[in-house]
Amino acid sequence: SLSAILSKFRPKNRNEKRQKFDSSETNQDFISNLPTEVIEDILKRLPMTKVAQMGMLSRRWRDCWLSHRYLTFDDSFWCKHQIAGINDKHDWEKINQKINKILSHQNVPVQKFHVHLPNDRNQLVAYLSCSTWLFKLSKIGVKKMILENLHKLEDMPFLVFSCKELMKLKINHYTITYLPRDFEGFVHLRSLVLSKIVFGHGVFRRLLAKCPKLIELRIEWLIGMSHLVLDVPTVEYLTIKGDFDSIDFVNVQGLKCVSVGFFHPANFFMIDAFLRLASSSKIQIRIISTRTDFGSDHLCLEYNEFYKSNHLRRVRITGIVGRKIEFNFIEYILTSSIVLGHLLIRVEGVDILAKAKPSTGADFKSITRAQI
Amino acid sequence: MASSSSSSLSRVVVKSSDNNLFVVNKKVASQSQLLKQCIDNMEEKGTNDVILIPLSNVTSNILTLVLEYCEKHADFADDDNNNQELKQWDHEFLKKFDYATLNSLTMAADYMVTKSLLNLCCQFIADSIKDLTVQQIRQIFDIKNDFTPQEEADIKNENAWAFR
Repeated sequence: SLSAILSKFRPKNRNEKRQKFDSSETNQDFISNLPTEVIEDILKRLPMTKVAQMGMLSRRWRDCWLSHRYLTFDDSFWCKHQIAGINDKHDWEKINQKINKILSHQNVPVQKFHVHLPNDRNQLVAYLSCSTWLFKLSKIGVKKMILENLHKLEDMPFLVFSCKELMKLKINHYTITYLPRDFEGFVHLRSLVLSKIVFGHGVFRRLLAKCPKLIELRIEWLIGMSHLVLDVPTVEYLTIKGDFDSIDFVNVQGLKCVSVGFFHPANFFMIDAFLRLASSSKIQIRIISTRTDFGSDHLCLEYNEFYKSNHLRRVRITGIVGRKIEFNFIEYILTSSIVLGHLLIRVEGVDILAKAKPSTGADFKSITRAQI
Repeated sequence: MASSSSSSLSRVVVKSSDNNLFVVNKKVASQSQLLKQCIDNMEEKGTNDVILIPLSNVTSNILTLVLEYCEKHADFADDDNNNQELKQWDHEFLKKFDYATLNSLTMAADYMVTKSLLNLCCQFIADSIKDLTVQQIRQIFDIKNDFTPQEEADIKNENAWAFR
């Protein structure tokens, strides 16, 4: 009966298709005899220019290149089109043609489409046929899209909203004034990163309402938004970077992990919002970690759901370098958490440790309540 | 699991293509989705016997390596705090092999559905290709040029941008 079970597994693992593999029998060239999915797995980890170069090895590798579904026109791609080695001058026209050409080969769903627009000071208009590409992608399907604009702020191409199969979307430095009237939503979207985006009135909220399967949401440095309202019941991983005057957690019942980065470390409005979130009994929270980037430093808080006493019980703070602001932060956490039981503070770097030690001792003498 | 705990297995026996037997404890075997599914399936049926899983595609020297990897990762399965140590171990583990072994190991990881080992191998291969020229890749991996002169001229022309 075991062989019956194994044979049931075999088609699933596509065993029949495979040749016998053994190091002593590998007389054919290495890697060419790997299964296509494995070769694809290797190639997706390489810069696209390397994959293009490898297209010249043999027919097999040319075919791999032509069917490469990870289209990454990132800065390493742009570097290849630099004019006479000047950093901020690229041949936009040639790049445009190149992307047109590469996309014209594609007729199966694209796994990844990444376009980077560099900050060319002399390039007045970022003229690229984005709409043509997006039109094609919306027809053949695209799973992951990254639009990274380091050039001037501009309107996000509308055809992004036509890419209904998107599972991951990351957009950087665009304006979204309104949603297209016929926008049906990103019904498959799992991960959304919004970075330096200017939203028209109510657009942020309506966009999120149209992502019914969203699990990961990252909001970074939104431009011109002071009140953040989050109505995202499916989101489990939330990252918020940048400052807001207020954060309103309307519906965040799926939340498992929150990471926060403040621009002004003294922004306790935001910390308050998260402390309230942590103490609300209605919300199931496993861990909240807030991470603050003061340059290379990280602060990290941890709330634990296993203590249902509605108060902060465990805090983990790492990467302390001994700055005043960090002690203010710790003090704030200590004074606002009545039942704090565990506090872990990790100081990073040996030199820094020596500097930080005396003041650490002094600061904690005044705080006797918590067990440190 | 629907079956009673009395029928849960603690060990399985895995047979390599060259007929060597390996006794593997369940936690270690579970690192491979293929083995795990075999075990789950047998447990559902309530078998008490030690099961033998023949892997007709994997030789014993490669299977030894896969199991060494699984054993290490099973040890770390419960705590992710030691990630750094495990990463270091992973790196040292792959560094030892020649490309032919790495090739077979990658195939075995794919076949046995040991996703983390497959990822590790793919990343390792990608990292070693990354800084090589096309000529070096051709030599090291012994890849034969099977283009007709016309095809080669076409692709050269087409992909010239990548060589700037």
